[in-house]
Amino acid sequence: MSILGSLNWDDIFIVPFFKEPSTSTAIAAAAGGIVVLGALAVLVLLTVKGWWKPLWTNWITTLDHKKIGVIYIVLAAIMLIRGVLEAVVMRAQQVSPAPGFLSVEHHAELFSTHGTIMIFFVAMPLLIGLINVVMPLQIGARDMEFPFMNAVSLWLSVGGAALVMASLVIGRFETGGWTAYPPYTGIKLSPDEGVDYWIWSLMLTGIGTTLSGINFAVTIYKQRAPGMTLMKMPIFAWTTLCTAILMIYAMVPLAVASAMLALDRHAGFHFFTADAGGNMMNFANLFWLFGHPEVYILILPAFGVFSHVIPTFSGKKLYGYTSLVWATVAIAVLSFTVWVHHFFTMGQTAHLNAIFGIATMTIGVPTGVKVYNWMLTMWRGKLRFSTAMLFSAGFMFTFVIGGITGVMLANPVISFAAHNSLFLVAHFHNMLIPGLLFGMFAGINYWFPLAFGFRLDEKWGRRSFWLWMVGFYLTFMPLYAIGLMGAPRRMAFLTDPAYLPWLMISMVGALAVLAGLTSQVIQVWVSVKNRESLMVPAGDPWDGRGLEWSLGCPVPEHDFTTIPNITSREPWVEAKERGLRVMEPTEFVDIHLPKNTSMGFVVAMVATVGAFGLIFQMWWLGALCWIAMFVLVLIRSYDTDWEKTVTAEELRADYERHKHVVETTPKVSLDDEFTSKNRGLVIDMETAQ
Amino acid sequence: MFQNLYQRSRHLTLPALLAGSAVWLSGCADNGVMSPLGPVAAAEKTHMIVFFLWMLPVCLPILIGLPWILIKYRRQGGSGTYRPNWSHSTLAESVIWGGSTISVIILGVLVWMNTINEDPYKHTGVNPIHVQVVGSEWKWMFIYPGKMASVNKVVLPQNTPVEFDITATGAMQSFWIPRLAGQIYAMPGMQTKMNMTTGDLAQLEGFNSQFNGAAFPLDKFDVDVVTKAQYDAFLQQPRKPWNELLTQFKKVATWNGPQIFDAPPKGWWDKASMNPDMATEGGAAILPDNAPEQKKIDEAIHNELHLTQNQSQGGAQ
Ligand code: HEM
Ligand SMILES: [Cu+2]
Ligand SMILES: [Cu+2]
Repeated sequence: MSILGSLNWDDIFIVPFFKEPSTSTAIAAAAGGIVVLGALAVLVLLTVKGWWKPLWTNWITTLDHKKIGVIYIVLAAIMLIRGVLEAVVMRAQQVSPAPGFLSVEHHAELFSTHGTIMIFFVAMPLLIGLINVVMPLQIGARDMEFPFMNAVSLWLSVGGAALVMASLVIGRFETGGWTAYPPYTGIKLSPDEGVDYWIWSLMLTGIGTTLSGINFAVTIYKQRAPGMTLMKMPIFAWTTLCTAILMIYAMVPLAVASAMLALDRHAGFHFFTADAGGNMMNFANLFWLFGHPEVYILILPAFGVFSHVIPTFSGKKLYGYTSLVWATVAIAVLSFTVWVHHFFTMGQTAHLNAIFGIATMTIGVPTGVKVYNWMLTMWRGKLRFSTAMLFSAGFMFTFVIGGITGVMLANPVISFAAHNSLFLVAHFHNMLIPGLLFGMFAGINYWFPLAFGFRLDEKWGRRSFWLWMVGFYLTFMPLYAIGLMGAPRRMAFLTDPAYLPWLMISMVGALAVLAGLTSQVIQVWVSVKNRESLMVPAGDPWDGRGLEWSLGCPVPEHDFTTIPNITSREPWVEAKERGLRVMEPTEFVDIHLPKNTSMGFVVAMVATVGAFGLIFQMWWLGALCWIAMFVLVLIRSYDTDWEKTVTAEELRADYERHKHVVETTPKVSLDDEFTSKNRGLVIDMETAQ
Repeated sequence: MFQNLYQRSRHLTLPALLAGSAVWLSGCADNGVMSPLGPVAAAEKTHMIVFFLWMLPVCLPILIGLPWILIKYRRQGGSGTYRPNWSHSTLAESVIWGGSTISVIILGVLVWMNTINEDPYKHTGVNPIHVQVVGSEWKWMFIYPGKMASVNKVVLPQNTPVEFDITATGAMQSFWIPRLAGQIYAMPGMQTKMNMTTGDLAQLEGFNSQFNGAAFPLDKFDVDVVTKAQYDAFLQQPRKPWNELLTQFKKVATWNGPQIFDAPPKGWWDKASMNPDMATEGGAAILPDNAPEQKKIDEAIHNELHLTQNQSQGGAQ
């Protein structure tokens, strides 16, 4: 075997097009071209503008949880653009006259990358990023418990995403869907590097996610402000804790399953092959032992977001705190008991199916309770329809519809008739788009000022909401319909003429979603351009209720000048009721913050190169990189000079500065909340004295 | 501002929702569970509707209450009272937790009964016809033990219980005839079962619903539900020798050619289900790199599309 492993000329993205020109290969070549040109454009821009140095010192080497969170969200945004574009291409493929412009396998590559990207490189970075930015600020912590590990997690996820992008340029991705069931993904039926791309990109981000889970959980256990008992924690911290625990336990079966698949493929093992005692059903079980908790990893943080956005924009205390906490915990525990519902059709006994069906529906109880709690939070409130609030309301309505079809699918008999159909595809998008994306969009619109100091433009935000909302219904309601008419999922072309009108509606919907995404890009652009008029330095632009709104926007690197003593669930609301606009300082002491380091980035990039080696069977490269990685981590472990000190005087000066800003900022009423008069000191004049 | 919102939602969201609910009311299509032919599929449809209806007591209050709250309690122009510190009500808690628990208990009992009753392993009548199935890359073999074998075509007498014994070679597949019954996986090295009772005379389509590569859209078969006499005549038809089927089946990716053959030797299917290579050498004929075979797949897709187009034109007259 050559030193370049299985790599050869045909793996370069444009070669297949010249060998066999067709629309399908042309699209593949164009996609690869976009990646290459995009990367080049970024490099040129950075060089011309002289941004390399600031990028390196402010971002790449940072250990600040807020900046790490922002990078996660930027990663998610880039991947979301790819994911949505792929979705639009798939919808276009199915409305064009059969057999469409894509080959069956190219279409398969698209749904496989779309699914993999949306789950692992959009949804996960979004929620991990948001948690990174917000959670420490809510619990009175100055950073994550393990800031260096946090950077490693981040860059491992970026490395995984980079591999998925690389598959557009070098070689190709797999075609077995985001679930990659063997034996189809075994070496016999999928001999090329596609499945290895799936295995190793997921391995990288999976390790990153496990480490994030550990980080979040330990931070919450150990870094809460004095007096903040568990039952005084903000709900977002609660959902983070449950998500973190799910991450720690759920990512392991995925890593195990994909490692076993790798051994099957390249080391002659027979875990999942049809012969020599292998059993593919073990893969399905392991995968969904990860996969079902995964959907709650995705959804719980969004539940946390809604539990803050809704009270804030209803001007009212959260209804049923205790109920919400227990519902969250119940969901987290139950999520490990239902995985079989993903394969009721695998031939196990009816009793087993029935038990898992009932367990699945049981999750409906705490979930239903949550929706009612949010509704009762709005009840007798004074609702203001910010972008964040619109996304929350849109979520509640839409999510309930997805819940109905979810409970239907929990009945094994109905699952027999809807599994592997577009009905199922409609169902899970019906959960994920409101339950994950809308939640994250709401959270980003709501908490954006904490990281950047200015609000996002409301006009474009609301436009994006309506386009996403309408786009969602137009895209996926028709899929419910044709799913019941017997249309299978993952089908490159559907020939039944009865489907066509529905597919057309769905196409229009996908374009609306694309327009929604475009509005969001414009929203960010416009907001950055007008940032002066959107600045909210006083730090409380929405008359907020949590500690995070007491810090000033943007939040300084050390987060808290002094750590507050917590005596209730809403210390900031109580401070404001006592007429304060700045938390009373407790004790100013010298603090230590981690110094910047490039080591997290370097370790993860080495791991990424190693993974690339494994994908193309350059075993030497893989081995070399994994050894280098451990050596680097070891070196870092012996580095004793990793902290810098911020003195009590500096903190006091910063406190005085913030106090001065707040005292000189004009108060505005809720009427002016969304205008440029809002400098971060919004007060409900109707009730406040 | 709210006025503006409200009108926009009236203009855009409602039509979308109506389109969505139309789905539930129509049940129009040809090949789905919403137009069942046999009792098994009919039961699936019933469960689907019953389940949907049982969800409404929990969900309708949200779907109606939420817009109502959004309108009534809006800050500008709303008419609701404002109680900023109201955050607990034992009554509401009991109703919410109790109500959803009760409905899940009801649904749970239904699930238990449905699942046991509609167990695909349970015979749907006395002395069902046995048909053995081998799913392969991208063709289906049906064996009427001791009588005959066929490819991509299964003929069944009307209103008769049938038991399919299912296995596969190569990748995992999912055996599905939506208008007669639900699906079950067909897995290499494994045996599964699907029981159903055929309904009235019909020409149906069954297919594999689990993606398995380049010719996945062609991975389907005809299901003819005929009279008892026609069925008996079918079993008497002239046929090709079994060995021809076996050699062909190993070699080609998509099938076009004769469909009817002698039955294999007794016990062949059982052995093949334990040792899938007996039927196709692990799917070797259809390796993605196999360029000649890929050409044939493209051709087959085009032929198939021609056929369906002609059919649907004929059907439309
Ligand atoms: C933005 C609008 C979106 C559109 C228009 C869209 C469209 C599609 C389409 C057309 C498919 C293929 C369906 C088929 O199998 O025939 C698909 C599959 C899938 N989508 Fe999306 N999608 C969207 C957003 C999302 C989001 C936000 C997620 C998750 C967070 C997601 C996750 C998935 C997954 C997991 C699959 C299954 C892939 C597979 O079959 O393995 N999608 N989507
Ligand atoms: Cu699940
Ligand atoms: Cu689900």
